[in-house]
Amino acid sequence: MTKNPQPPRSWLAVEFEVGARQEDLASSVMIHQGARGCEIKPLEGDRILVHAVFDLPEASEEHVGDLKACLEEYGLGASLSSLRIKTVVEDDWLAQWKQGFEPFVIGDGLLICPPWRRDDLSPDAVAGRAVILIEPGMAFGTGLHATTRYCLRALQRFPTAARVLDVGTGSGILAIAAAKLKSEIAVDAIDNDRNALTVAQENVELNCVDDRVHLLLGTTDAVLGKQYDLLLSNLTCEDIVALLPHYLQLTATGGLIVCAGILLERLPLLEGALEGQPLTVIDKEIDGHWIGMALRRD
Amino acid sequence: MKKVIGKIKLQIPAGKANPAPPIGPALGQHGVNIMQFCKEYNAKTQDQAGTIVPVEITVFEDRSFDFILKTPPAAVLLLKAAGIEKGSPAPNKTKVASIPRAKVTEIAKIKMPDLNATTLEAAERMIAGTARNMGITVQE
Repeated sequence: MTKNPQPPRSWLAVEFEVGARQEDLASSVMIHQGARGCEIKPLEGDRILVHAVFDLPEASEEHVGDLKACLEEYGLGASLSSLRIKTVVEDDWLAQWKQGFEPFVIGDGLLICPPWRRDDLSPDAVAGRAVILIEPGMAFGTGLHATTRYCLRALQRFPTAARVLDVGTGSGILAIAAAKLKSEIAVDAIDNDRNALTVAQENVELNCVDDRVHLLLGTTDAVLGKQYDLLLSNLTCEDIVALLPHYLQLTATGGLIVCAGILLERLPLLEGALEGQPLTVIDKEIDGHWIGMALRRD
Repeated sequence: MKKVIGKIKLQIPAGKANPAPPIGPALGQHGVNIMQFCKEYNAKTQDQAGTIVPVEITVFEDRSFDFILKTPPAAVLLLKAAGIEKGSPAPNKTKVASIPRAKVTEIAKIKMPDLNATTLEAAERMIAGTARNMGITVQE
């Protein structure tokens, strides 16, 4: 995949003031009109500011006219005098959080490090571990979350296989770790989010594993017909359950499926889906309200 | 107890949080790990996909966060109860659906924890008001 610098994305924001009691109605009207979400900001007295964001680069007269008409129709006409249209340009919203992102170890074999701290790593800190450089970016997977940590530990705990599939790769952290832990490994990493894949590509190149980690845009449909020794799935419980039939097809007999992202309260849903399937739970770990599981394909 | 440095309130679709606006800028200015919030929100709301699940996020001085999920907007619950996709374009003149009073009570009970109402009757009046604004008649 070649690097293709893209201009920053932008969104249309519509702001207006209403009474606090009208928060629900005002935000649902905006979402019904296509807003991807609203931020509600308190103002003085019993007033709030509704900041609705639309997946549009700029305002068209027709769209603004529709929004105004809609607000009037729903009895929110008084808010029109405060209505403002803005453009939100993509920015590094993680910048402030990144300042506190320090290198850290996972198990005996991995050290996760942000690229801007790599020159600070001493041989003692590395201590023979594989170093994974992760530019957090706007994609899931920094290694800090309990679910990602479970997958990274599982990669070290279980004998690493030759063919690996990472479903929902996000930042690419799991695919990169698999490739760095064993040099003979080939990884297919899929994600249906084009922006996540851009971040993953940068991280794969940063870690010099682009010859062994193949990034694909799409869902498991993109790799159906292939067989893997290890499948990594750090998704939500509902996603894992929905994809289980594909996972069974994609995992070779004796292979492993490592699942994370399962909330403790949702475990019965997964357990129900596993009943009667040719899968054996060989590892289960609880970390806070999250569960990680390793399943062997029988 | 950790010092609170900010509160953020969002109305977003269940199971679909991502770092684009409004989430990214709202959380980023407080130094919150945006992706971690999205992951946790999606995991907790995935089973309500297709509706809006408002969330109130508390940010602490160490940039850690906590959040509570709120009940879906009354307007969304009313549309569902009436079996329609959108309200009336002219609610005063054109009524698009009607729902029994019992449905208003049901919705009022769901919304009660998040409404500024001290009694169920007061909550019902608020829900009925929203229904009127949407062109939905309440059958007595």
